[in-house]
Amino acid sequence: MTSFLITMGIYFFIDLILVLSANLQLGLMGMANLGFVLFLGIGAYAATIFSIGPEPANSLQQYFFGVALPFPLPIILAIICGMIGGLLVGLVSLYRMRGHYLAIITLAILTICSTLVEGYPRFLGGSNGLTGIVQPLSSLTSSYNGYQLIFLGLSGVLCLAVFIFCQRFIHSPLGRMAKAVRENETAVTTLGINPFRVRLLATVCGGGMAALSGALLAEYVTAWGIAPWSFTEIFPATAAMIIGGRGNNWGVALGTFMTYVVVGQGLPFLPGVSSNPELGYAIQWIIYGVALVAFLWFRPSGLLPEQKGRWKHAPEFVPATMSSASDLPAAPSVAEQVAEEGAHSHDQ
Amino acid sequence: MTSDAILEVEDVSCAFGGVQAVDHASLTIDRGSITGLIGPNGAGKSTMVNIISGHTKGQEGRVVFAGQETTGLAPYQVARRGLIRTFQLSSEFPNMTLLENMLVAPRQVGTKFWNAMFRKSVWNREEYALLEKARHLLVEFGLYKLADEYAGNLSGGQKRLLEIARALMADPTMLVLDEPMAGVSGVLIDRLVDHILELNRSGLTFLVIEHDLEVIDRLCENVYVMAQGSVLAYGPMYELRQNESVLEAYLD
Ligand SMILES: Nc1ncnc2c1ncn2[C@@H]1O[C@H](COP(=O)(O)OP(=O)(O)O)[C@@H](O)[C@H]1O
Ligand SMILES: [Mg+2]
Repeated sequence: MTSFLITMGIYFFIDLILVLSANLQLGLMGMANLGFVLFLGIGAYAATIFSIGPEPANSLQQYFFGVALPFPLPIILAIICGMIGGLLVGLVSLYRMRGHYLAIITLAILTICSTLVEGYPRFLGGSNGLTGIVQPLSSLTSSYNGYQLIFLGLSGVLCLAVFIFCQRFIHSPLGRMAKAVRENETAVTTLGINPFRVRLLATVCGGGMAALSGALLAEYVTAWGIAPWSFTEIFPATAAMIIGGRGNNWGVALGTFMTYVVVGQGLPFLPGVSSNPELGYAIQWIIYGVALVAFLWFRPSGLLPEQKGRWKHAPEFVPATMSSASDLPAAPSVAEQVAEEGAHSHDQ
Repeated sequence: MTSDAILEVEDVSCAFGGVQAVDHASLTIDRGSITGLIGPNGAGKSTMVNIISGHTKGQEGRVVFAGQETTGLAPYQVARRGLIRTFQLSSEFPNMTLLENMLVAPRQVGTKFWNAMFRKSVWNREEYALLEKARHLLVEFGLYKLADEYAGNLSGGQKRLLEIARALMADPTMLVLDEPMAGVSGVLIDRLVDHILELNRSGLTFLVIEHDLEVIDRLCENVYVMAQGSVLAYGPMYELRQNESVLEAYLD
């Protein structure tokens, strides 16, 4: 049971990193960039080839390149590959594409990449995938449970770092600018903001985060291939974000817990499901679909909606003391203003 | 009367397919003035503003702002030179509070990635100074009580006020207002007119597009008249009212 809880914790951290990546692009910026699954795969393959070592002569699995770099290099290189991928996809697609078109082109790039991998087995193992990925820090302990704890700690620390990163991003003037780009791209340009730069930045950061998630996933499972690298992964991640609350990192964490842990891991406990995994799988998809539609319909801002901007001392503000400091006309007193607002309240 | 021009639009043209929206039109706006731009619907006024602000690329002609050519610059580059415009349809950020709307406008060190992530102490001081300024402006525009309300919940007139207040946060040297009174009711119109006059006294140059000729009368010394993409006439309202071709264009 403890082992099961630890496994669930590890998956929660790995999935949360992915959903935070989606949130930075879809939630905060409203970009229909579905490429986060692409970067998940890039990170997983990168972590694999940078830890697996050269291709053995008599092995069944084939790959074009492999080195055995020590921890944490495979993870760092995976993040860098994801960021470069994000940069390239961003440069290609963001310059002109928006909305549905962006969604379609990012899906198309994902499909092209997985088809390439599948079609050239010598490149990255083809449809068989790659196994025997070296686990980070595995030399520290030989016990299964001990290593589970180490991986829990590793993924937890990295997830926390990503969470803090996202908190700082969103609750800074940069995050506010990103939100404004989502709200009205044309209006933002007339305030001296270059929307392309903000979008590209979010794509690069999101690419790195998704790649980190993929790297951890591959290293935990010790195998990776095109089967888990499917566009269907978009749905649970999007559902987690929308149920939890897009644009709110705490909401995203809650949503990830609900979709991936409660629904994804809890279903097998239902009577009848444990003996029939296909049934569990079907029920899971139905729940994701229904929850997604229900939330978009009844509560589009999610369980924990995006927060309003708040500042520390939002104090008694006395305008009269300030009017001399400015070249603007003298301000009416607050009392005047209250009276006036009353007079205007009917004007719609 | 000031005579140096802050904005010169020379002979610009812009066609959308077969529609010649702006047809070899030229404007000169004096520094420190409030200039009007009027004309019937479809005359090309908004297209002219779009060419000035970089939102539409004209096919011919050039635009010079504050002594430097801005033809072909991206809208955000034009804005950074101090020319801020508003839109015919109000363009608030609906799911952000009024204060957040205001704080998007100024250039901030905290919008640089590195500062945002690792140097909160650097951007926070600037943030609070700007917050103070934003609150001050909201008081002046009678919106302070709604400071933490979502901008999408404002009335049409309040959105126009917010948009102008937000533009002021960017410290512009010239404001171009595309039909600022559209959808605004009586009391707020007076208030907007007063604000524009006050701001102009403190040195801001305005180009105002407006249907309501009474508002133009109260605001503008000189007015351009456009029809079918061309500039028909320029002068004070009382002269334009006598002008045959202007009357004709309006009667069409
Ligand atoms: N983006 C566009 N695409 C096609 N035609 C346009 C576009 N913008 C404006 N037009 C056309 O250009 C002409 C001038 O429009 P506009 O500048 O909006 O006029 P005004 O603001 O004076 O009412 C109109 O005939 C309009 O239909
Ligand atoms: Mg117009």
